[in-house]
Amino acid sequence: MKRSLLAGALWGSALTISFGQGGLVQPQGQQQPAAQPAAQPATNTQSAPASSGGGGGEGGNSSKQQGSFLGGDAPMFDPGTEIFTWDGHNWHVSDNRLFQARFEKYLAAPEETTAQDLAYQQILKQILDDLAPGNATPAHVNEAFRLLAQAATYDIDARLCESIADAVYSAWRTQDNQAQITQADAGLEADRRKMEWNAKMAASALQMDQGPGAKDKANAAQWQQDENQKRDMEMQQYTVRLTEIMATIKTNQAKKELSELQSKIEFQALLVQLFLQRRFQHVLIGTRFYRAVFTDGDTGLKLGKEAQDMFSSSTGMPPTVGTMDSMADEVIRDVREGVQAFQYLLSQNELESASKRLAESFTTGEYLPEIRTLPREQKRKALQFEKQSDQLLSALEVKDYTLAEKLVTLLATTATDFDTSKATAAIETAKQISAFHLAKARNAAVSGDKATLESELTAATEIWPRNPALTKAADLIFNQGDAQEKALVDLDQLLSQKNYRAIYDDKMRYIAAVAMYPDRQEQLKKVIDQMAEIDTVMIQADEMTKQSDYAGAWEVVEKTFNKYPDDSKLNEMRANLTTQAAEFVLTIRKAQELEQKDEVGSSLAWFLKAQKIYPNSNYAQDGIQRLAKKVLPESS
Amino acid sequence: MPRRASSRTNPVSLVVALVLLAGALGGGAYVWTALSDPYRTLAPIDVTAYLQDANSLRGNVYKFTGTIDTQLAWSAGQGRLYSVVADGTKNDVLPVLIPPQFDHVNVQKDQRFTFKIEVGDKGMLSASDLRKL
Amino acid sequence: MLLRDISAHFPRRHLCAIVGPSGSGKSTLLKAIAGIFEPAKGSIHWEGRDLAAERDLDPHEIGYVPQFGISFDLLTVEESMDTALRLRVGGLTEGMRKKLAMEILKDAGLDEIAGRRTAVLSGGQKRRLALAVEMATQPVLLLCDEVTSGLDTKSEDEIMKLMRRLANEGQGRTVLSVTHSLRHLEMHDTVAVLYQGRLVYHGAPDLLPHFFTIPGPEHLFDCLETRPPDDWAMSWRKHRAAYYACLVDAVTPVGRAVEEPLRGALIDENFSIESVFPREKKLEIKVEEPTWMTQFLVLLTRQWRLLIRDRGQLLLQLALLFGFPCLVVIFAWDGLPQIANLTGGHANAVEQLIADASFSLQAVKVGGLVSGLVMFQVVLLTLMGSNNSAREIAGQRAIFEKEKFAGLRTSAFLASKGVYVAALLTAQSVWMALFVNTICHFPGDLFSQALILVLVNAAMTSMCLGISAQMKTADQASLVSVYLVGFQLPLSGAVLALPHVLGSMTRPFIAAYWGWSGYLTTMRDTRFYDVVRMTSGTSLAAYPVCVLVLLAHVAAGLVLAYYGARESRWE
Repeated sequence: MKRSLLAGALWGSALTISFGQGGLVQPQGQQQPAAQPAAQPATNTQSAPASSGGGGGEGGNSSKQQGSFLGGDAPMFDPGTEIFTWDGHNWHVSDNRLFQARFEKYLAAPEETTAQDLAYQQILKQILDDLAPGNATPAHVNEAFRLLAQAATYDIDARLCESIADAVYSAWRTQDNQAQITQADAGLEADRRKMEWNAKMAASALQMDQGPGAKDKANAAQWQQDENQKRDMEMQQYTVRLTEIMATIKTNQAKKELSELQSKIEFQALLVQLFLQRRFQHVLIGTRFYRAVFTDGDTGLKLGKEAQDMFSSSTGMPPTVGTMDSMADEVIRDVREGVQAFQYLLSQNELESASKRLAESFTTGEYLPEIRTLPREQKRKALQFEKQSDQLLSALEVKDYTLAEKLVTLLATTATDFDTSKATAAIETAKQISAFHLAKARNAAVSGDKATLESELTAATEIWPRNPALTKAADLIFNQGDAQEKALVDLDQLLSQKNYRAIYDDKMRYIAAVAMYPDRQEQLKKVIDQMAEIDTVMIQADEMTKQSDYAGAWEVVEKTFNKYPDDSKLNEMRANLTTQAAEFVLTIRKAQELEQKDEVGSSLAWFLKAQKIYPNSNYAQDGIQRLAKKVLPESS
Repeated sequence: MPRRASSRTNPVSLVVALVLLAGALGGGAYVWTALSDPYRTLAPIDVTAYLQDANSLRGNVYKFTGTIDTQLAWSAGQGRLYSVVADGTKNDVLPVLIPPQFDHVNVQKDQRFTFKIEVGDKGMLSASDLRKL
Repeated sequence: MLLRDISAHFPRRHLCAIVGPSGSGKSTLLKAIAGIFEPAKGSIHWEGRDLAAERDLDPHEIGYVPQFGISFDLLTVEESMDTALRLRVGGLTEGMRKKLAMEILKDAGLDEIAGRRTAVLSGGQKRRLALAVEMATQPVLLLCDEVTSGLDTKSEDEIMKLMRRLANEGQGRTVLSVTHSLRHLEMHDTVAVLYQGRLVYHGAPDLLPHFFTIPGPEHLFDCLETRPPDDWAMSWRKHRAAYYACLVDAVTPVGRAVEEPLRGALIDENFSIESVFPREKKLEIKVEEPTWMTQFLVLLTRQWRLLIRDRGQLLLQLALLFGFPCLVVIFAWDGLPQIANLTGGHANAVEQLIADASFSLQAVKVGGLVSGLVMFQVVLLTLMGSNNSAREIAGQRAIFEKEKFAGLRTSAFLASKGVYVAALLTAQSVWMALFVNTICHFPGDLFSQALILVLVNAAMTSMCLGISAQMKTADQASLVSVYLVGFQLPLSGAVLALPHVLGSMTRPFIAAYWGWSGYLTTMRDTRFYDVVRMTSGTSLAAYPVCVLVLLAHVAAGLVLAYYGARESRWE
């Protein structure tokens, strides 16, 4: 970018000459950014938040201002690195929150198309017209001089016209032009009063124009925003103070015995100052006044050697007032073009590029009418875009990918040139990874691997804290944890009650619960095996019952019942079967009873009877064999 | 008085004669069967009573008729133990011990025997005589 | 009503022809006189005594020659005569009897064909034999029922002459001859004409045309038809006195006119005919009756003789005797199969069931075989039994009736039958038992088995004898006996067990059951018994009971036979 190039060279040299400083920024450091200024401004205006921090950090590499002519109070802007310096503090312009805030404030602000603004512009135009080459008659010059005082009353002017007027006045004074001085004094007085009053009005109005409506941002961003605004406010005060200082300068000027050279140098300094402050209109006014005032044609800028070299190496032109003039023109033209580009891009919905263009234009030509009179509507769109992209950046920063996704979609629809790929990729990746971690965590929860669970959960949370699935998973895990505890308690209780059937009925739950406790596992296994055995028997008995083999079923159940007398279901089945196979059961019981009493004969008879009722009876067969052996012990 | 050649027999007298004959037969048969039962004077064992409480019948001698069911045990010195289904029942089975002195009697399943049994110790029934029917 | 309002008197030495169209009751009159039929009203007097109210005629006093000659075809004339004599006349030695027999035969003109079998005699000769046989006891009253019908003229003449001789013989006989022939009426002393059960004429043969106002006796039947019988009877009653008077005149050597009052008295209903006739002297004939034993033996020997002479019957008997046991033996030529025993106490119920099933199968086979064999024997014996006696009495009924009429004792007759069949059946049964036992080696006591077989045969024989005595014809008796035999097998319960109630009702009457049961119980100690008992639904009765029941059957049969034989059963 030509203007940056120029700007870089100029600032460097200006600094050197004016304030005898070594340079605000190291020439080396200066060189590099100056050499590749294209990349920096372009990228830095809309770069990711991550770099803003870096940007801030970068700003730090600037060395302290040494002996500024203002005593270190003058704010400096280094367009090369887009670093703004003042009083030992450095801020990176476009990456800077400060700058963002200013820009957004500008975007939110209404266009300065009020009557006042228009009148002011008119005055300036008039001044410029009056001082136009070929048109700068002494009458016009005087007219212009008088208009300066008028212009100075406007807040927008920031008393710069007054500075110019002072410089011009002191220059005239030194030219022993009494009449002009007297006129000037009178005019000055009147205008000063006007300006004061205007300044008050503007200050109160400006108070109301404070800041755009707060949008919902992340807490950290909000705080930063607040800080930025605070600085901005502080700056306001400084601007006011600046005006006062100008007044003092004027007073001092009266005290000093100014030489023409001094006044020239002072005038030149003022011009440079104005240029640095990006008051390009004032620069034009100043240069034209210079020519009007110093008619000797000596327009060469008296710069220091270093600065001069730098100036010529970067711009390739000798440093003259005329050069500054043309450079200012150039800047104005650039800004105009930038605004036009912005407007065009806006019409094409290429909001990203439009915003960039506008930001660039704003950076350089903040005070230019083209910037100032930009319609609020247009600015609003850009503002919206800015805000949304800010939001996106914040969302990504805080890893709120849901919101980020929404914003990406939104931005993609509103700004056709918005590159969603990076953001999308980042979002998707993050989501995926979070999901993977969650899945792993779930598995770990199921298998009881607490360590993995924790680590995976942590990882998932880190990657996407606001993952909705996270809450669910968390619930699950917490519940599980709870459930597991409950299950263990229940299990213990049931074991103590010997209520094995309840355990068996709900065995899955308990199996899950005792995964970590081997001793309980043993117990549970035993219980389950036992119950399984009982169940098998019951199924068997059921089958036999279906085939009306009640006696057989009863026998099967009875044997098992003797092993496990506590099971209620088995008991119930046994009772049922006893009723259904009543005759057989009665017979067996009688036989057993008699066997107890050692009534071999009748017991044997009953067993035989039972065998007749149910030939397959094991009880009967065993009983018969036993008793037969008893009767005939020697039998084979 | 009817003439000799025209004598007709009175069918009544024929029937009477036959009835008397039948009566004689029946009587004879009855007497014979009665006399032919060597255990006539023995009371038949009350199977229900035995099943209820065998001890109450201890020491008594009864007559028992039944069908041989299974051989439960056999011992050279002590005899054979059979299960015998009581006559007229399906499920009432009594264990009868046939002592060794009757080893020569061929006892097979489904044969009908009549026993003279004695209710012994622990309610065991042992046969003091047996006859195949 | 066969006969009505007949009043007649026949003196001694009198040959009366009783004529009349068919169905007029001529034979009936004879039978009434003989005592075979009983008149509902009226009486028959002989020598002044009422035969029904007082003493009947003795067998030897009366001779009755039935319409159809009855004699055993297989016996000779001489044997028939001899038998007749022996059955009717006692106290004769063999020589005397022979002599007497010859005399009678000579009288009857049969002496030259004495050795011929009755089968080869001609009709006339058979009639003459019949007459001769009746003469064995020299009866005073001889009733001849159409002895001349169906004979050629010559034979007829001969018999007429014989009858005339017989009437005149000795102290004179009253010979009443029912005849169709009107040719020899003049040879008779009187002719009694019966028309539709009414006596329409009884008088001298030569006066007959006069009474009927017919040219000759040959017109008699046509004439009878001109008036109803009642008219004829009335007419006779009006005139009978006169004719009787003539008769008296004819009879008494001293002619004497009939007195007037007598004529008038003849119209009277209560006219007593015999008052017309002179009283005759009572005859004193003493014929000794033969003893029961004599009769028994005679019959028995005759029976055997008949059997032996009857080739067909003899062969049949022999065939049955030897053939039937062979039939039985065929089924068990290799003896009876042994049976595996049924062992109990299989641990496995299924194994037990299989063992039971195979045993049952075997049991059914062997049980069936044994039971079948026994039953077969029994049934065959019952068949033989029925064959023995079914026709015995019924087949000889006519002769028996005649002989019974002539004085044969029923008991002797029955006894002879009994002994006869007893001999047969004993041979059959014993041989059956022996044969089967020897060839097939049936287990069990042979004697007991033989006894029970004898008894079952005896029971059936006896029963069939009884049937034979009760039935009218031999065919009938045979049929019923066959039915009886036929029912033996199904109702015995040996093949199919009868429903309990039905079985217990019918079984006592089925001899085969008792025989079968008795036979099987002789094998009690064997497995066959068990097996049969197992497979047969019918319970087996004890041996003694079977014996008893069969004896009862025998007795019952004999009772039946006795009562049946005692009945008078003329055709």
